[in-house]
Formats: sequence, C-alpha cells, structure tokens
Amino acid sequence: MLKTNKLQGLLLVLVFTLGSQTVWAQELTNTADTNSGIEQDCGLTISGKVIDHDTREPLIGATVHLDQPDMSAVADEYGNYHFHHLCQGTYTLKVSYVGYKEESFTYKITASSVRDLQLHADTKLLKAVEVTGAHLTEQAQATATLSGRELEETRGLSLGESLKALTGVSSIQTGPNVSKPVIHGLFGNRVLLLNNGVRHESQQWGNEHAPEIDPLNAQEMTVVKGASGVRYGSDAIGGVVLVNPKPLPDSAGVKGKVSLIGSTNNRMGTVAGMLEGKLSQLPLSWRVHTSVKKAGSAQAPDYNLKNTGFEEQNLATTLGYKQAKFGAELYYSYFHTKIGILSSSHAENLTDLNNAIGRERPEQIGEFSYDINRPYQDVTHHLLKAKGTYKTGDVGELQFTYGFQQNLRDEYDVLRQASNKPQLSLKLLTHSTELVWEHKPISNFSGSIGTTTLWQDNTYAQGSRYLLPYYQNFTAGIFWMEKWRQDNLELEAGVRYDHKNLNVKAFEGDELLKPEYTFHNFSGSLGAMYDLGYHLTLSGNASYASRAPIAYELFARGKHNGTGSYEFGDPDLTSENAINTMVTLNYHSNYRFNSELSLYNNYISNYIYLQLGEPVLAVDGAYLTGYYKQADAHFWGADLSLQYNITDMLSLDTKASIVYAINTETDSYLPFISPARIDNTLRYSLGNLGSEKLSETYIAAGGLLVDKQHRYDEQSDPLLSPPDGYFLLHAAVGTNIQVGNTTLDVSITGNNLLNTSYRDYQNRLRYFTDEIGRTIMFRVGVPLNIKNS
Amino acid sequence: MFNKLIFNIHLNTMKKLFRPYLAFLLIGSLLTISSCGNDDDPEPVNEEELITTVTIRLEPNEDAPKGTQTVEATRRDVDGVGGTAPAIGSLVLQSGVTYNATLTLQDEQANEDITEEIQEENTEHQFFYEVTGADVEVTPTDRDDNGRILGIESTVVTGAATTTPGALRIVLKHQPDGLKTDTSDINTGETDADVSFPLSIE
Repeated sequence: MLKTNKLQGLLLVLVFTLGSQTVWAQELTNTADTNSGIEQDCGLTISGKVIDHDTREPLIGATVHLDQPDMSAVADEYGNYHFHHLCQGTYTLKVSYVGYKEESFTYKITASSVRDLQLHADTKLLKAVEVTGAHLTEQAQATATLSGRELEETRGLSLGESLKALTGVSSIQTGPNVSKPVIHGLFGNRVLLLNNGVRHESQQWGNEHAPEIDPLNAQEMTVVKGASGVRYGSDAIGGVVLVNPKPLPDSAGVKGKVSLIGSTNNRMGTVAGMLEGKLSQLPLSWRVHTSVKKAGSAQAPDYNLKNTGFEEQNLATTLGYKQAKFGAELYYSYFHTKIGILSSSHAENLTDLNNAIGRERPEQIGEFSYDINRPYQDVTHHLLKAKGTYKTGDVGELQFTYGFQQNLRDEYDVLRQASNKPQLSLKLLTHSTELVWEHKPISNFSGSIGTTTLWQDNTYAQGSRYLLPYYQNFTAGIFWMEKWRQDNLELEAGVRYDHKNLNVKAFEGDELLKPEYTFHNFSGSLGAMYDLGYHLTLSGNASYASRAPIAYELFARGKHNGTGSYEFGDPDLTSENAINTMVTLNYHSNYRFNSELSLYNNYISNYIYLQLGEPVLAVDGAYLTGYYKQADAHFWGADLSLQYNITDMLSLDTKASIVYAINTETDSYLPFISPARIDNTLRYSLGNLGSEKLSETYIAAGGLLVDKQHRYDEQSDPLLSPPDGYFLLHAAVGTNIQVGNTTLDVSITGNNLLNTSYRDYQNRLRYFTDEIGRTIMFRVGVPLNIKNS
Repeated sequence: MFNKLIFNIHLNTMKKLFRPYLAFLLIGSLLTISSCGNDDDPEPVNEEELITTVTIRLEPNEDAPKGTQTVEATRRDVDGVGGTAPAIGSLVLQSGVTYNATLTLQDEQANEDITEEIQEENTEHQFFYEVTGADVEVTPTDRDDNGRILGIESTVVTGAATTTPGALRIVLKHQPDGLKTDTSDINTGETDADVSFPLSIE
C-alpha cells in the first residue's frame, strides 16, 4: 500500500511538472478514420473543464478520451479540454486522472457545447487507511473491516476485544482476558471464525472459551454480518469473522518488524517479531511470525483482580510458491495460552453465588501478581494448512485447501487437595478440505462453486470431569454462488447443502449409549446492490441458514463453575433455521461526509438456548440448572457509522448500534444481548508537525456510551438484573519517527481514562467484580530491512 | 449460445479437475482413519472430589440416662447431581441429653474417606452447624493446627421435645489463602458440602 502511494505521489509530481509547461499539446491523437460511420468535420465543438467534484478545483493534466472518433485531449493548466470538428451525434467522454476514479459521460450533441466533467477522488487510493465501507464492499451483505491504523490501535488486545472497534460487534466476556465476538446479538457456534482461510474449530460452545487466534499476526480482520451460510458453512447464522495475515512478499529480499507493546493496567509486556522474504532465483516466499505475551493481574479502579494474569505464546510460519499458473502455500501456527480466572468468581453453589453478588467487591483481592493459580485454563491450538491454486485457463482459478487442527483445552478447578491434573481435559481433532473453483466474469456473471468436508474427533482425558461426550462428526457440503453485474446493478444468489453425521458416545449412568445423528442443512442467499448515484449505494440481502445442534447442546451434563449451575443437553434437539434480511444504505467516497446505515431482521426458528431453571440439590448445596431448549426467536436492530471531515485535519467518527432479541414463544427477552451503544471519536491529523523526522502524526479523543440493558426479565436474568450504563473516555496519539534509515511507528492509547468503576452486562463475571480501570498502552514498531535485492 | 458453450467446456474441465481431488479425498480419509481413528470407548468418569455420603453419628455421653441409643443419619447420593435422588436419613434424639457427635464424609464412587482429606487441610476448612425448629445446641470441640475451630467433632445438647420436626444443617466451607480467620463465618469461602437432616426430639 505504502509503495503504491509513493508511486502515485511521483506520478502526480510528474503530471504537475508537465502540466505547468506552457506548451502542451491539446490533442494527442487524432486518428479519426474516414470510415468510422460518423460524418466527418461537421465543425461542432465539445469543451469544458475537468474539475474535482467536491473541491471544484481544476484537474490539470486529466485525460479525456473520445471513443468514436478515437481522440484524446489533456486538460490544460486551467483544467480546460476541447474537441473540435465533431458532428451531431452521441459521444462518450472517458475521463481519467491519477488519484481519481475513471468516469464516463455521455452527451448528445446538436450544437457546440460546454460540458464540465466532474471527477471523484478515489478515496481507496488516496488514503493508506480506509475505514469500513467506501465502495470496497463487493457483496450485498454488510461487512466491516478492521485494518490499518484502526487495527494498530487495537494491538495488544485479544481478538474479541479488537473486533469491538467495529460497528455491530460486541463481545461476551469472562473477566478481563476471555472475550468472544458477538455479531448482531449472536455468538458461539453461530459465529464462524476463519483463521487464514481455515474454519477455526475449537470448543466454541463455551462462553468462557476465547478464540485461539493471535490477532498480532493479522493484517486485516473482516466481519461479515448476518447469516453467511452459503460460502462458509450452514452454521454461520450470526456471521463470519475473517482473520487474514498479510500476503507473502512479492519482491525479493528479506525484511522484518519487531513490535513492543506494554500496558499499565495489568503490566502486560508483549514482544512480537516478524521476518519475511522472497528468494531471488525461485518464486518462493516465506514468513515467520512470533509473539509472546505476559500479563499480571488486572486492576479495577478500587481493587486488584486476583488471579487474572495470563500468558500466551504464538508462532506462525508460512511458505509460498507462486508461478503464473500454479501456486502453493504451506502454513503452520501454534497458539498456547494460560489464563487465570478471577479467584472469587468460583462459586460452588447458589448460596455462594448469592453471597458473592451481595458483596461490594470480590472476597479475595490480594495484590498485583504475575502468578496464575487455580482456577485457570491452559489451551493449545495447532493449525496446519496446505493450499494449492491452479489457474484454469483464462476463465478462473481452482483452489484446494486442506486444514488440520488440534485443540487441547485443560481447565484447572479450585480443589480441596493439591493436584497437578486438570479437572477438564478436552481434545478436538479436525481435518477439513475445501475445493473451490472461482470463475471470472462470463458475460455478466462471476462466481464460485465448491465442496467442503470436515471431520472431527472429540475426546476427553480419562479421569477428567464429564461435561462433553466423545463424538465424531463428519460434514460434507456443496455450494454454488453467482454474481451478475450490469451498470448500476449487481445481483447475487447462492445455494448450499450440508450433510452432517454425528456419532456420540455418551454415558447414561454407567451405561454407554452410542446415538447416531444425521442432519441435512440447506442454505441460500439472494442479494442486490444498486448504485443510486455516484455516492449512494443501496444493498439488500436475504439469506437462509440452518445450523445442526452440536454435541454439547445435545449431551452436555455437568457443573459449570462460575455461574453455580448444572447444564444438561437435550438429545432430541433439531436444527435451527434462520431467515435473515438486511438493508444497507451506504453514502461513500465523499471527501467530507461518509456514512453507512444497516437495518437487519433475523427470524430463527427452533433457536437453541440455555434456559436457567429450578435449582437442584447437590451435596454441596443448591445449584441452578440450565437446560438446552428450543424456541422461535426474533433478532432485529440497526448499525450506523458516520464519518465527518470537519476540516482537512479534523474528523469525527461515530459508531452506534442497537439490537433487540426476544424469544417469541415465551415472549421474553434473550440473555447476553448487547445494550445500545455509541462511540464518538474526534481525530486531529498533525502531519509532520514541521519536523522532517515525523510523519502521519495524530491525536484522537473520544467517548463510549453504553446504555443499561433495559430489555431483560426474570427469564433472561434470573440472578441479577443488568448493571447501569456507563461512559468511558478514550484517547490516542501516534506518529512515525525517522531514526537513521528506519521509520518507527509509535502510538499510545488510553482507555477508561477517568478510571470509572462500572460493570458490563455482557461480562459473565459482572456478578463478582467491576471492570478494569484506566489502561494506557504503549506501542513501538521497528521495521527491519535486512537484505534488499 | 456462446455462454452455453463456455459452460460445457467448464463442465469438462471441471470433471478433469475433480478427479485428482477425489483421489486426494480418498488419501485424506485414509490418513484420518489411520492417524485419528480413535474408536476406543470412554471409561465411565468418576467426578473428582465428589462427596457422595455425609454421616453424622451421635453417641450419648456418660451422663445420659441408661439405654439412650446412639443415633446415626446419612445423606447418600452415589451418582451425584441428577439421576437418582439422594437418600436422606432423619435424626431422632432424646430430650435433655448431651451427645458426642462425629462427622464422616465419603466418596463411595472412588471409595475414599474425605474426612481424612479435610483433617490434612484442617487450616483451610471449617464445619458450621445450624439448627432450626428445635432446641438443640451444637458446639464444635476439635481445633485445627492453628487452634481455630474445625468442627468434625462436636457436642450436641438437646432441650425440650419437639412437636414438629426441625432441621440440622451442616455446612463445610473451604477457606483457602488466609480466608479462614478468627472472624470468618459461614459466608466466607466456598461451599464443599451443605446438607440438612430432619431433626426431632422425643
């Protein structure tokens, strides 16, 4: 991106230099041939100015091209162009200029005419960082992308916390370190994560199981909102999160980057290093990325959150081979984390839980420490991916992806007696394949067709607590999607079928049952995008997705510490089906004001949810029970993002979202739905501050306002009503500093600057403790240029 | 017409291209079967640190009238939460008697004596007794290594006879990391056991 920008800058300079010269050929070519069918030399003229649509500035040096007759003109130093010797007729003028979108204008000429041609700055090209939307969307479904500076400002946060920067995305938390993305009120198995193109497969059903993905290795994270079953698997009822590392280098040499991140709140230190290169003799590229994180206990404004430290080690290596026709990629990543869970969040029974709720602060506070004691989680995830691509002539590309994943989750409970063993030890193996043929436009159609398979084996270590049974799962799917585009209109449609076999080995008392399930799941989508004008795009999408119940929902049986509940699956559950409609209005590519509004509506029949019920009496007291049930549910809401450039330097960013969710059978609210929220940020770009050593300096400040969740009842929250709303102040400052031959990027971000004590409705530990207090994070990135060639 | 032609060509290319994929799939499935075909059946899981059985045994002390019986009541739930409901015995005590009470906790799934475990970690545990609906006073008699109340053993003094049964509630609290102090109470720490026996005095 940086490179193309430099190139453009160079071109601009070139164009300006040339343009300022007084002698400037008006008509470059005039090869109108006598047999072109248009009568020759009728003496008419089209002339006018080429100007910027927004600033009305003349665009010196813009090229105006006429197809019939084949003529070109270049705008002079006043932006004027003219074509002479034209006859009556219809002419199409194609105008292009560096940094602007190419546009065509068609005029019917009966007499000599003056026509001003207005071009739109190509925001995609001009800015290195493009915020969501802006005509980047090539699909009718609403998406949001976190990349560039916005992504940089989230470095050091977990995946779930980073994604909260996007409109319509929130997270379900278990304390400060466990965060799972929520899209439009849906989460867990309804939100698919694609890590470098492979479906991330772990124990996603657990609300306290954070995604095992290192966001530091990502260059871009895109959220597809709403049911996206066709392309990614029929269970994607809520949406999809695509986590993509940056593409392998395409020019020879070796370079790298070292990043250091520090946080004041939990005294976290993170070191990340990246090295990448391309061989000069062979079309072979490679990359190694690693990161190590270590954090102590987090701090609420008034007390220490005992045992909330964590550590994480990551490694990702990629090897790529690319020829004109054939490409191959081998990728391996390792993720390991050990996460302490707040000591006082371990409620054994309902009485303990009520005691905890009644306390102002957690029973055990302690002092800051890097130690991690029980309860804690120790999770390891391996991903091996092999991908091959083959260009099928001029018409498309065939892609094959194989993925192997091993997910090991060990949970260590608080025990009466010292022990080294985990109380819960789950192992999930996943093999997945995907074969896709993407075809290039054939007349107005472009699309893809493909098949996928997924094979899984879940086991638990002998001697660990029973919660989830052994099972094997095989899913095979086939899909086809096409896009049709003409002029202002794009239509898209897709269908998918998934066949799923699930073989379970579950205990009923001492008896081992081996039930087998077969599910047939269909998905479909229809979408349309219509450009209402240059700046305004209206898109609509209706999709159907069907998710088969997972083994946990069918066969869960066990104690859930932290909520003082026992959870029971229901072996008779059926697939849940969503009909999701969404309308998005996008005003984009304007240099002053851009915005996007999405409205959505999601009907889910047979929605699977955990209903808290009557307590059961165990030897250690009363426990709440949670039973998996099905009912029809209805989700609806809106996302709004606005961006207003008050001056060239100062801009205001607004993001707001609201979501409603009800169980239509019992006419009650659903739990864990994000309350309405709005975030406003003012950003001031300072450029180089008059120093040659600085560039892209900025300061920003803003506030996040989260409402109290008013939409709750006895059924959604039987234990404790939602906490009050809150307001948090945040700020950021950043710059690039040139030191010798390298440019360091440096930034500082601060969250909860007023050190506000608050509790968040979507944090499962809200029963026990306040959220973390003031957090300042420091980041330094040092690029390394090791070998150029 | 032209589109149809292209489409047919595509179909042919597709067929060709699918062939190696099918082969790959076969190889893939072979791989998965050989490397991960975990067809072993799981063993039944015994819940760790489960307390299936709580027994209180009350022996009349030497001052009790002759013929006063030793009383024992047990709460037993061998399969844990769910499944079969727990069996809970009742206590029928004599009026105006002092009993020496002893608690026994067992895990009958794993055949373990939990009382021993608690004795080993006596500085982090304490039993609490609550009586409702009967004139009974329970006083723990044993102490932990720090000289604080433990409560495996106690004296139980009964008063007047009851007309309707009351209850004796016994709560075992785990109070690690310095939570057990001279002032810690039934609301401190985590509950390891919380059982109630119907109690009447004759």
